[in-house]
Amino acid sequence: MPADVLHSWFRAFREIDDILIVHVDLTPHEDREAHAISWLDEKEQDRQRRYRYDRPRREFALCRAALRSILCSRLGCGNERLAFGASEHGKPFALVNGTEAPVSFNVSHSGKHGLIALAPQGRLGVDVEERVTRIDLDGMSEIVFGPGEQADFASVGGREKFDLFFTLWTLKEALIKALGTGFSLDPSRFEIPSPMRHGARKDIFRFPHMPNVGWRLEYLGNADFAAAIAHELNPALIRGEGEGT
Amino acid sequence: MASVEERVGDLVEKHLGISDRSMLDAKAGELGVNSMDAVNFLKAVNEAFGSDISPEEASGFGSLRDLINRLGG
Repeated sequence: MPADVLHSWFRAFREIDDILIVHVDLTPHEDREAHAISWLDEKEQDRQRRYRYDRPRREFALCRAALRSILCSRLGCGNERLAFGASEHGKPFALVNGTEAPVSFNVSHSGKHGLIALAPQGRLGVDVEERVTRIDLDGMSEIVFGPGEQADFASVGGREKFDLFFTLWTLKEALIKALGTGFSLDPSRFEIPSPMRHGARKDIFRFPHMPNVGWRLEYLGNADFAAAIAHELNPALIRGEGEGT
Repeated sequence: MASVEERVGDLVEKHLGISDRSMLDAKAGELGVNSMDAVNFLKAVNEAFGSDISPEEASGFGSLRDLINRLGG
């Protein structure tokens, strides 16, 4: 198998300032998956085997191997020196020779698409969702949207409503993933800024319970999938913006 | 009347595409269910059982068995 075929399952998708976003092709491909598994350490191979179904096994192997390749390149280390730890809610972080590495990253996958986001610092979250029709959009909106979001969602119909659901979902999940809490944070307790609910692609966001921390929020969706990133802003940069510097 | 376990199993099959009932005891992380499908499934459970389980509460469940126990099964 030529190396370019084996390695062609991930490639740069977007660069936003110091954030790199990589797309991972999760189309079933036995050779790629076997090659990806060979990059994983013993602990990761155990985890990959523990998944009960082929789809999550494939998602984990292809995304984790892509992440290893990107991190090794960025950190200048060999694959065997790279390992991963996890926070209380399971958010992973990179270790090189047992020491936490100076890089932030987050991974998401849905259907045939995975996204990996990396930045030098600051908490970072990414979410990608294929726009599927099996979801009860109205029922889900009552669970995950706040009052203003529900009002905007109820005011539109058809394709616009369908797209708005996935836009808001990915923006909210990117924020939750950046925070690293999972759904222990009720997603209906914060709202996406109104301009982004009406078509703006980016904005600054603040959680009601932590107003001193700003987050860069950007929608990355295209015709194939909905996607978003959230990145914790450097407090010095926020002060600078306010001072007109 | 079907048991809580049978009713949850039917909803798991319909909304998560998992038909193997032994998966009711698998660790949640081993099923590889994404958050959107998980919340959609939770909504269906709340409708079927008249329950009010939030995503916040459900995030503490380690397996589908924990959900069945929460529903009184």
